[in-house]
Amino acid sequence: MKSKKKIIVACGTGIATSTAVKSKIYDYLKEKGMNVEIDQCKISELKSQIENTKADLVVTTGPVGGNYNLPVVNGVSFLTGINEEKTLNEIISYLKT
Amino acid sequence: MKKTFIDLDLINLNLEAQDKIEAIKILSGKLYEKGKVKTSFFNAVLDREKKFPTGLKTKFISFALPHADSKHVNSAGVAVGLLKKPVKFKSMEDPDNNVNVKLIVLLAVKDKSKQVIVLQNLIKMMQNKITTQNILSSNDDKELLLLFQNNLFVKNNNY
Repeated sequence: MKSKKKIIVACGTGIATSTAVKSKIYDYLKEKGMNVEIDQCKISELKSQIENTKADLVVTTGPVGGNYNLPVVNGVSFLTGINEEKTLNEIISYLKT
Repeated sequence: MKKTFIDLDLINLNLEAQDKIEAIKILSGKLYEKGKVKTSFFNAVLDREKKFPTGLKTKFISFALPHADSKHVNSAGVAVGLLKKPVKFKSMEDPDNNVNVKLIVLLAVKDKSKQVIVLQNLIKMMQNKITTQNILSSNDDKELLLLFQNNLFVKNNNY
């Protein structure tokens, strides 16, 4: 069986917006029957977090810069409610590959 | 948590400020007076705002969620400012753009695992047409306080 997909949600301080975005993504994916593991961190810790968790995908609420060799999705739509569905589909498409 | 998290002293209807720095200073001062944050909080918030701006725009309201690392926080809470005249924040979605912010919710987060529900509910409030209308048309601090108190602590608030 394929192992659980891993997502990292990152924001500036790793406490506020990433917390709200994390729970939204988790609930949405659960509704779609997808069980994923979601970690959260500060954007400054992103590099080491990716190495430690072997994540498949990163969702951020702020500028990350750099190249991470994995898909990085802008998750601000989960905070504004505008284009949430589009972002969610983008996340799902990356998880299915 | 409900009683200490937010109270009348932390609500500022008709907040007058020249810019976001002045607005954040006033609201930080309120949290400081309550003993909720350390002296370092204000500068930490400004610093974070520069690197990771928090201006957001939903369909119904333009708001900002400034905050700082929990090491600058003593106990959890929020200070709310409804501005008389909007101030500019950089956009979280695209830091090259500005958002004319009408509502500032300055967050003091101490333990994120305990504040998940509050953070979720805050985002839900900002995406709700009626709630945002009520916020923007509040007549006094008490009315504004009640809106936050009645919405922030609801469990399984599906809309």
